Order: sequence, then C-alpha cells, then structure tokens
Amino acid sequence: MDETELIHEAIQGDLTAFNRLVLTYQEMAFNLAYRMLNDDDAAEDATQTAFISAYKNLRSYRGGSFRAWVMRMVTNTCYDELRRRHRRPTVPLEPLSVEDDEEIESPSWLADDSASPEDQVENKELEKAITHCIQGLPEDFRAVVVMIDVQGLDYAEVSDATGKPLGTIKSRLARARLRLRDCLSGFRELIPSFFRLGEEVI
Amino acid sequence: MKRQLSTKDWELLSSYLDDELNPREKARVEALLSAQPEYKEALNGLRRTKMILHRTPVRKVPHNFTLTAADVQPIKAPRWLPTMQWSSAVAALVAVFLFAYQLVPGFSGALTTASQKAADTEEPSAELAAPMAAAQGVVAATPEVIYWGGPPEPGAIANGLGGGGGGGDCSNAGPLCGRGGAGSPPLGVDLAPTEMPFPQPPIPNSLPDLQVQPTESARSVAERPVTGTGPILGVRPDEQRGQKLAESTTADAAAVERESLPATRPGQILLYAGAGLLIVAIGLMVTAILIKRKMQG
Repeated sequence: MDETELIHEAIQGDLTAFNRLVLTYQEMAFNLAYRMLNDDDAAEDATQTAFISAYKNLRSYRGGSFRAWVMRMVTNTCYDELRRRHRRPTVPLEPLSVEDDEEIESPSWLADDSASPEDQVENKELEKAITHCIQGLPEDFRAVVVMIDVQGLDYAEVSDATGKPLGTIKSRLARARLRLRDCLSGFRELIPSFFRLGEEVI
Repeated sequence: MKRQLSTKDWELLSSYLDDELNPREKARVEALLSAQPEYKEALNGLRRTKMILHRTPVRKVPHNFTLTAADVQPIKAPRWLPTMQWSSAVAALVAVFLFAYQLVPGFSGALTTASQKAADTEEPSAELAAPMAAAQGVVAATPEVIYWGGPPEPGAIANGLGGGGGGGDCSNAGPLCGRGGAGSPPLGVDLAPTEMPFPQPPIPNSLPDLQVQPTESARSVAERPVTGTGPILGVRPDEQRGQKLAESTTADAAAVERESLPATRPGQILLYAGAGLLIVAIGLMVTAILIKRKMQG
C-alpha cells in the first residue's frame, strides 16, 4: 500500500493505516522537535502531541507533500511549547554528577555502535557544536535551517510546513547559514575533520 | 579592497547553493563568482556550513509514537457547554438592549412615547368625565387659584371690578397702586403686566381716588357660587388668604424634586444591570471558548 492509499485510509478513520505513516515520519518529526526545543522529554511530548493533532486534523490535508504537512504539525506544536516557555520560564535541573552529565549528553540510544571510538568522540563534539549554534538562532530561522539543511526538505516543502512565502524561506535560510558559519568556525579545532571535508569538496 | 556582501548577495549565494535560482539570476551569480574572489570565498563558507549541518547525528526515537484508540478518542463535551454558550448570547443581547434603551435617545424616546400614548388614551376619558359629572350636578374638587402680584389683603377682593392687580406692596407705588383694574372687564381678570414697558407720565397725587360703583350685572356675577375645575385667576380661597407665597413655592419645588427623583433611579439601575450582564456574557463566552479549545487539543 503506497502513501496516498494510507493517507486515504487514515482519513476514513483507519488508525492502523495512520500508524504506518507515523512509523515512516516519527524519526524526522522527533529530530525536528529536538532541534527546535533542545530537550528530549519536551521533544517526545511535542512529537506525540503533533501526531495526535495530525490524526484529528487529517481532513484538513489538501494533498501535496505529506511529510511537509506532518512537519507543519510538529513545528506548530514546538512553537506552542516555546511560547509556553516564554510565559513560564523554568530552570533546568543540574546533573547530580559527572557520570549523570555524560549520560544526559550521550544517551545510549544516540550511540552509533558501528563507529570507531575516535569517530564517536568527534560525532559527540559535532553534536555539541551544532546544538549550541542552532540554539543561538532565532526560532523562525531555526525551523527553516533544520528542515532544509539537516532533514533535506526542499524550499517548497518548508514553505508549506511553515506557512511562509518562498522569498521569506530563502531570506531566513541565508541569514541562518551566515550565522551558523560564523558560529561553527569557533569549533574548527574540535571538529577538524569536518572542516577538512568541506575544503576538499570545494 | 574587499567588497562587503549585502544581505541580497548572501541570499543569492545561498539559493545558488541549493540550485533554487532562475536562469537569469544564476547567470548573474556565476559572473560575480568568476570576477570577485570574495563571492567565491563566501560561497565556500556557506557550502561548508551546509555540509556540516547535513552530517548532524540523527537521534533515534526513544519509542514508537504510534497512536492507540484511547489517544484519539474524542473528548465528550460537557452537557452544560451549549447552555453556557446560549446563556452568553442571551446575556449579550439583553445587555445591548438595555444599553440601547438608556443611551440611544430615539430608541428610548420611541418606547417612552409609546407608553405615554398608552397612558394618554386613558386621560381623555377622565377629561370627558368632568363635564359629564358637572352636567349631572356633581361638585368637583376645589379649583386651582393663581395669583398675580402679592397676596390680596383681606377685603381687597376686586369683586369682579378688575382690582386683582392692585393688591401688592404699595409702599413705593404711585397713586395707581391698589386701584388697578378700574374699568377692567368683569370677573376680575387683570391682564396688565407687573412692570410698565415704557415710562409713564407722572400722575399728580392730588387726583381724587377713582370710585367705581359695581353695576347690577357685575354684582350678580360675583354673587354666584364658584364651580368647575378650571383655574380662577386672582382669587384665593378663604382658607389660604394671608399665607406667604414663598412658602408654597418652596413646598411646590420640593414636591417637584421628590417626584423627579424616582424617575432617574430606574434608568441608573438599568444601566448597571446592562453593564453587569455584559460582563457576565463576556465571561461565559471566554470560558466556553477556552473549554472548547482545550477539548479540541
């Protein structure tokens, strides 16, 4: 059964068909939520809420890219959560010990078993650098650059997902990339291989 | 000297990197890249950034986000929610009506006129009843008495000879004081103004007082008993003679004030009631919207 049929069945109320769509897009949805919110629990809640909302509002889907439509649900849920945080800011709990800190920064489900220890270290540094730089962006820029440069959506899909015109997407992406370029250059010493890789291609 | 790239230049380079430019823009950017080394440097920086971001580690999902029937079960709306919504609408309508009644002159005037018309329809029957009662020989209540000038001294009634205007304070008056109305029509209606509009020629004090003998017809009219409901000008009932007019005026003013007070209070009460209802309506509406939004998730 292809995606269009699954969507049709889901609109008719078939929860099994919808859950097959969920399995297809849950990783992308969770990663977008995590990059937007920078918190595992909040990203988990936002992803679950977004899928419930997507199921309830399936009738409002008017064709086009379904993953863009799902990302729209996730983005809106994340904006709601960010607004709630602005209204009621909270102080994150500090890790109890260094080991706990390590566990939070590098959870077991994030580790890539196939990578060498050196690669794992560099991946961890890259993760830290990217998280730091993306969190420094305004929320609107963050959503655009994550969807295009991290998740590989095209401009039209991001325009659908955010409800903004194409010109706005281009402008936000260019400014986000410029800021990220300046920010990531500060991590050149920590992730040298990635910078070398970029120079080789150029 | 290195040229600073504008925001538009960065946008063009970023879109060029993703192949999102039209042929004309693409040709323009390629021309700039071949001619200006800073453009090439900027493009390389953007490309490197894009590659690094593309290698961002993917976080595995902590669990599947598949939904169960319980997750998507629609929340049942409380039974009282529709009642709350309707109550809000009704309260708003009543509030608008009350405000319109109080604040829009035409609206309240129309309603008042209508109610007055309803009352007026009863009045003519009373007016008609009076002549009928008079015709049947029924004696009506004591007629209203209106005085000009000060109260007449006992025994100074003009007796239908026009003496009503001459009973005032005569301390500074001329010889006409107390004699006004000589030659006036019978029944003592003195229509002369209290102040002369033009200076009058002085009349010598030596002039003898004018004595007018009442005629037979005048005497017969004065001896008739006072009947009817209309006002009798210049004549005061016996029991009211000698009383100060100022007292009665003050009493009348107080009575008018007492009568006018209750007329304003219902208006204020309606205004307050309207404001209260409006607040209730807004409160109910906001609560209903919040509950509905929460249910929709």
